[in-house]
Amino acid sequence: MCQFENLKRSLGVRFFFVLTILFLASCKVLKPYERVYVNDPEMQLAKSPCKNVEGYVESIREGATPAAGSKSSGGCGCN
Amino acid sequence: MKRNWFLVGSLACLSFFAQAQKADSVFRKEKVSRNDIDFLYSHYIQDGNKSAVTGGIGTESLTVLAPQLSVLHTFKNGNSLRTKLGVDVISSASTDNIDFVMSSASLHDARTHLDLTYTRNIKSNISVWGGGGFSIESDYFSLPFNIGLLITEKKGMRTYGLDFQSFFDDLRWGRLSDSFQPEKLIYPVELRNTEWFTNYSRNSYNLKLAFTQIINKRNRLGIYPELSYQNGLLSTPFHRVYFTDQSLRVENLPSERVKATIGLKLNSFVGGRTIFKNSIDYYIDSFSVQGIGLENETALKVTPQFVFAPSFRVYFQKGSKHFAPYKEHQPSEEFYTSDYDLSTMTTQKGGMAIRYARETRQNGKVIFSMIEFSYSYYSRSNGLDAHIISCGFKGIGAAK
Repeated sequence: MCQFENLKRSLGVRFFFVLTILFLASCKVLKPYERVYVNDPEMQLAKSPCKNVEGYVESIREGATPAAGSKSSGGCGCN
Repeated sequence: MKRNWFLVGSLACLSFFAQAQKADSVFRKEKVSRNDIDFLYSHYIQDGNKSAVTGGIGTESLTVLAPQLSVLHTFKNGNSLRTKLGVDVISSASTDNIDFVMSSASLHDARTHLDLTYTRNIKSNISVWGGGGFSIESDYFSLPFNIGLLITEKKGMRTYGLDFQSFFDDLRWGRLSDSFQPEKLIYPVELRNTEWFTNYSRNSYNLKLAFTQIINKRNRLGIYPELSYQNGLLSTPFHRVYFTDQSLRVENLPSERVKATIGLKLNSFVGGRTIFKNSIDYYIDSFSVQGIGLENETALKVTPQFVFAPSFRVYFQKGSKHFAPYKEHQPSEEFYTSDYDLSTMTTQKGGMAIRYARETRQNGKVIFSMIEFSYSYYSRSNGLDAHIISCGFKGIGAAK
């Protein structure tokens, strides 16, 4: 339990800190010719269909429901 | 100097004789409808020895074969209709232990689900959608509905999304029997002399928000807060719970549950061929479950079309206050479960995906767009192991 709490604090705080710095420092409008990398299909934030399957399994086999999960229909997941 | 005068003179002569370009009488810009077809096959194999059906002991052996077809038809005006149909064929050794006989209806089960979603573009940067469907298996019937909104900022750097989902579920057994009528809740065979629950419905409401931002030339960020509320029968009626005094009851959980989740994703293009996809999820609910999941997928573009993507995920969970293992619950407890999905645990998942994307045309129509193959090994610290194999195919066809 203690391990979980420590990990939660240290990773969570660092991750939010780094993201906030990134966010504040560098959100400038990109010109169309500057979007070669961010428009790459692999850079899209949506999960691939196969990753969605894994997310569905995780939402059933773990007590938590992951954010931006893929559950689109009901089902008991009770097996 | 003479050469410059010669060039200027030549250009002047040319402009005198040159004719303006005529309008192309053949070319005509025309919008066409199109169909995006996705086929997905997944194969899930699981084994463990802590089944909730037998009170936290016993086999959790399970195999699920799940083909799914999705067709997205985009109309000429840009609006679209998505139809998704899937079947999960389930072979479960644990649910066979509901009545300990091989004739149990739950040994082999099938879940069929159909979802329809219509998306309308209100403006070039605003779209709304609404949808519904159903999901049916022998002991479950669910009616899902959802509405949503997506706004893309005009410079294309930022999006705001909102999705509201609701699920209305009926947990009575019998819809796939000969009569096709729901009959009753199914309890473990030795506990059928008591009517443990009077309610058989479960309602879920999810509010999902999504905010995405292009941070710079090589980074994209997504933030996904979610809030969920469930009420009704949240216990699974055929889960057994054994107590310290050797007594046996059906699992009993509170009739309401509130869940909150926040997820962050950061995709970073590093160098010319490598993309890091990092995500972190934090979860908390009113059953006192807390979880943190961390995942990295590294997509390596071997060629512009061919991607090799290993991934790793680790998840830490603090279990529910209502959970205790086999024969460790006190008879005085109000709520109790021995379902290890709600226990304190660590899970690890390692896998690899291969994606190949290339548009192949035949008679001017695209027939193949992308194929993906993925394998993952999933392991829980309480002894459950699983293999997840999936294969996806995407094709696109343009039509008038």
